[in-house]
Amino acid sequence: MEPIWKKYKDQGFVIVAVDFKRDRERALKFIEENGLTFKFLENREGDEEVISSVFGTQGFPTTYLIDRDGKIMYLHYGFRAGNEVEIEEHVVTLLGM
Amino acid sequence: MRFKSLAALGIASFLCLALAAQENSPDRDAYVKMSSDIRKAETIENKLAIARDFIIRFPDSQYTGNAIGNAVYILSRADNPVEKSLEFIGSVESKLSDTKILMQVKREKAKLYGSGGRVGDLKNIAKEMSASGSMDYIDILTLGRAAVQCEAWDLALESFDGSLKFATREAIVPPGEKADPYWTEANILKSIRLRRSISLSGKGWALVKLGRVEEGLVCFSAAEKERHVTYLGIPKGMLNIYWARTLLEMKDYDGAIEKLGLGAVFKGDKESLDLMLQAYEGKTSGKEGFDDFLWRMRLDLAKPIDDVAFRNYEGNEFRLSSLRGKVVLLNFWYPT
Repeated sequence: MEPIWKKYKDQGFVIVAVDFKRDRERALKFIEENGLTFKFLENREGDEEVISSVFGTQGFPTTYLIDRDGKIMYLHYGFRAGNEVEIEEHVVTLLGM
Repeated sequence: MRFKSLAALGIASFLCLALAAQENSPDRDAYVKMSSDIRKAETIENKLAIARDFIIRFPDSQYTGNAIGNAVYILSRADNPVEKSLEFIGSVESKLSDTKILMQVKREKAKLYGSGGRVGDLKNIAKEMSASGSMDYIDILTLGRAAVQCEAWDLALESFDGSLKFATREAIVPPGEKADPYWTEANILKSIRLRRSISLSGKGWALVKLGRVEEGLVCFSAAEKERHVTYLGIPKGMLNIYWARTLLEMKDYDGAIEKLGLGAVFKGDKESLDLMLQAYEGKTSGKEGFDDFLWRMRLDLAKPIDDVAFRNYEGNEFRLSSLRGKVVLLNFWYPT
């Protein structure tokens, strides 16, 4: 995800990664080890229910691509970010709109 | 003084032993070991032997049914999986006597008969299961699904229709039984709706396949009212697939497109997309422009994301709405 972020961030593209287990120590280690520079957040205490009710429960889509108006244009289920090539295509499309 | 403290010590020891006995459940330990040994075993025969060994040693355990399921799963990768699985079940069945486990075994057999196209055997096991008088929702649902798989439509109709009787409060939280704290009013209602949705979808499809299309459509409409959907309204379960297939048969291409829309665009599963293409071809007599069509549908159906607040590592609140005007890739993850 870092390469796609670097490539398009000056065109108004943002990546937001939310650690929904709030494992801050491990998260920070992972970020540092991989040299990731996009935005990392975590959900707040008591918001586990919010995450699962707003974003769905088990097998919930873990990757959302959101257009400039805040509309969800693509989503991907599973614990990878999804097909990088496909995602990049979609990002380009959405940036051009 | 000394007598009292000795008695106290005695009681304390007894309690400790009793608690220890509860904590060390030998069957759970053996099941965990079985699972790990199966993973390490290299051949299917070895894996099965390990599973069989557990089942014979613990025929009444809460893990026995799981072990049988594991064996069936292992055999799903062999050739002749249905035959081999039934053989395996046959080799351990006589050791079992617990009614719940025996019913679980019947369910496994039903699933195998369904996938093996063995309609006669499926009908027989359905009779056995209902004769036992202790069928639960999962049992009758398993029969319905197996019947759909092997196209035994009369059995499918009977099962899904019968399963509606379990889509009730009493079936989910039997009166008089100690209630699990999970069963709040909200969760009970959710469960009733979920069951109704599944049962009505299956019933509708069976009716359609039996030629009773109008009645089937009525069931689909009723199932839709239970709103068995994910966030974004993407339909869960088979309802929209069954409904779209029915509408395609009736050459109602616009209708099929409407039922498939959200699933095809946002779930992107192969079945929804294949059916969507069929509907598109029916409507336009060709394949051209299908990608554009899907894109326009995506634009039409896209919903705004709720404004949620997260927290950054400096401890400050971060609202998703602050990103309006940008293209955002939002990813949920956790470090491993």
